Amino acid sequence: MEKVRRKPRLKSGHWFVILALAPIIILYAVLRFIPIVQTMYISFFEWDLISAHKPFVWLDNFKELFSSDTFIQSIRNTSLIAFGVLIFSVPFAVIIAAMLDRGVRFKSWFESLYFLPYIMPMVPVAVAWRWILDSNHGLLNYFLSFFGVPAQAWLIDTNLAIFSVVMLTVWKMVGYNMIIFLVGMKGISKENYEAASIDGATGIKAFWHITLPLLKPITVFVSTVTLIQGYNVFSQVYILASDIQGAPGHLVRVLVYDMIESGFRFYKMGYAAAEAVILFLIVLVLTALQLMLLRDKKTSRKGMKR
Amino acid sequence: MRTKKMILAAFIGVLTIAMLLTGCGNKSGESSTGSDSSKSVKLSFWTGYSELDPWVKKAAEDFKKTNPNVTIEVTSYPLRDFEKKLAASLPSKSAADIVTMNHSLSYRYIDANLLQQAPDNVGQFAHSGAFPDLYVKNLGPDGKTYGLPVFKNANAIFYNKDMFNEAGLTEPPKSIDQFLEYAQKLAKSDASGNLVRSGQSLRISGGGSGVTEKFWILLAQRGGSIIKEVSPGKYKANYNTEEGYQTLKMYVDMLFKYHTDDAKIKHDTEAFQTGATAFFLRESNVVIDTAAKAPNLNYGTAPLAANVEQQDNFYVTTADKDKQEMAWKFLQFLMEPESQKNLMTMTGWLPVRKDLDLKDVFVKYPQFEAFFPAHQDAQMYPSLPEYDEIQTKLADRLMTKGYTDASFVDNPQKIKDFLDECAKETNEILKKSGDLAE
Repeated sequence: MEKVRRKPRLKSGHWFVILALAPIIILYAVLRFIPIVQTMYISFFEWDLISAHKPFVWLDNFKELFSSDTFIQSIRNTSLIAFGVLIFSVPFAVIIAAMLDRGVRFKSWFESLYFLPYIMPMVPVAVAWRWILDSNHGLLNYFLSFFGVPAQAWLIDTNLAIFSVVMLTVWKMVGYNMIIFLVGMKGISKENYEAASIDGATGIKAFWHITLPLLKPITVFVSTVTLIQGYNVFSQVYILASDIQGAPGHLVRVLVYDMIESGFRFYKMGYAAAEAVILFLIVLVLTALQLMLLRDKKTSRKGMKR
Repeated sequence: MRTKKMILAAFIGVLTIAMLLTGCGNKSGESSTGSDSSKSVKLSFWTGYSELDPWVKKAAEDFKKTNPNVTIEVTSYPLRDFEKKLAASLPSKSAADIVTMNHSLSYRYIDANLLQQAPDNVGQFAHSGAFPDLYVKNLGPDGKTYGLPVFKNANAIFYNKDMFNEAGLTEPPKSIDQFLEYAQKLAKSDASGNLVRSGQSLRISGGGSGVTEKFWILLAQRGGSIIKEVSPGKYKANYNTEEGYQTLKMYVDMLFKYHTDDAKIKHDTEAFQTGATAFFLRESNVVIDTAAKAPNLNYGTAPLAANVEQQDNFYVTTADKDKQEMAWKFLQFLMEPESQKNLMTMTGWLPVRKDLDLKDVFVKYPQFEAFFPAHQDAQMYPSLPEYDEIQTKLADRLMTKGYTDASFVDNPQKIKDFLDECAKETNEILKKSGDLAE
């Protein structure tokens, strides 16, 4: 008997789901998807923000990007900051989380204390850090003077300015990463530690051989998010090191800053769009890398609580 | 039950869309239209100079006395943010009705019909001889009038008289050749050899194109410029020259060879007002700022042999005829002698009108006199849309290498190579805009 093919019909439940999701899908499309596609489109044009003449230039904007010292410097600075933040904030967060996980007094108080910078808005925080890092009257130089360290030009010296941005970002990010690690640590079954202690692995050994391997999915997630946020660095650089007299100007030129300047200062929206596409590709690769690592078969969930 | 759910979902959907659409509404309700002159007109005014705020507000209040139907809302922003705000708001028709803008930036907007041409009476006033020719030609392309000048932006030497006396210097430096010698005599270090007071405070940091502008002013003292018009409308970089070399060498010597200035110490106006520098070059607004912040500072000003002048104009953006009429009327009101004098005494910026009697202002603020020398070579910002990019990118290079590389000391070739490299970038920007002289 021949099978009768039925026309797929949407049930009322389906319509409810579609209607309920429609606003957020429309919002996502308008605010995210369409701008991304539009940005890619603009990147192939010499798109002056004001002029009506916008010739199609194919890949010229990208060619110009990679021959521009400013762009190369922006990529270099952004990568230095992103990886600098990653290198410092993830290990610090693991260490702090491990210490708090061992059960210290006033644990919740410490958790709040470390998490507080993360929820504070970046602008006032960066303004406060400008004062801390001031080479003449800054708190940091005052503190270092007790150890015989001469006053440093934190926001003026090229390398120190980048380090200052890393320092501020790590300070702000570490609380968030700590909370994620703390949740991960809570998920590790005590049986693993008990079994390890029978084999003589306690303290640092247990941390190294039990905690860290079982935290791998969390570590990959935290590292990727930190790296992506690092590549999007802007506000702290803008406040600490740009457009303000007395700040080091463009020593800490980063990708997002360069993009804004190209688009809204030099009116080169096509060029700025090409920069945005590069940033998009970087973030896309990092996200793909995260998904790949999370799918790694070696990553075991056996030790996690069910 | 199912019908209820459907109705609820549809209601939520409609509500969300309605909320989204509400946000997209235009602001036409705010402006009044029609030709009746007694109808209330609300004008908005944006500027990137916060110092202008009280002056424009006072003028708006005075203007309201004779034009009670006109209300003017004044808002100021930090300059660089303001320029970006204009770039985003003018094409989307959401900018204020009146804005201030550098004349070199304005040409882009005039080409795109985003700024309104002044009515005939305003054009006639602009060309009546009230303003210097140097400024009149920058009010719009082809002799047309699109704006009225905001203020004259010129520099002079600010020097601390007490510090000069202490160093045995009886008068301010007369030429750039004396700057280094003076700086050496005036710089002060503590017992550990750390510089605590710069001789001359150089502009070696800061955002935007200001760093290049200050370099340009020193370069201009030697007859140089950032770009040079080789043939009508065609330019090329002009600082990879002997004048440019001497100028950068002076920076390098002051920073690294004789250490009369240091990136670590305070700079600019704040340094001058707090005694952290003996002299520096700055615009006239420092006079009023110092009167407020350091009223007891014993200082004087001296004219420069050459100056770089920057012209910002007032522009009208609104397409609404009633608003346009009132906006131009208000701008003419700002140009009246009394208001122009207020500009000077309230903000420190110099009026562009050349037919003003400023004797009483000079009595109160003698430091202003140095900004009106009898003879001075003046260079004006060129009317090139890409000039800001040229200056900003040169500033970038100066800050990241020119003013930070100590190996430039006694190394003329290295300085010249650096300037050639910068000039290459300048010429590339000019070429891309079709303005390079081949």
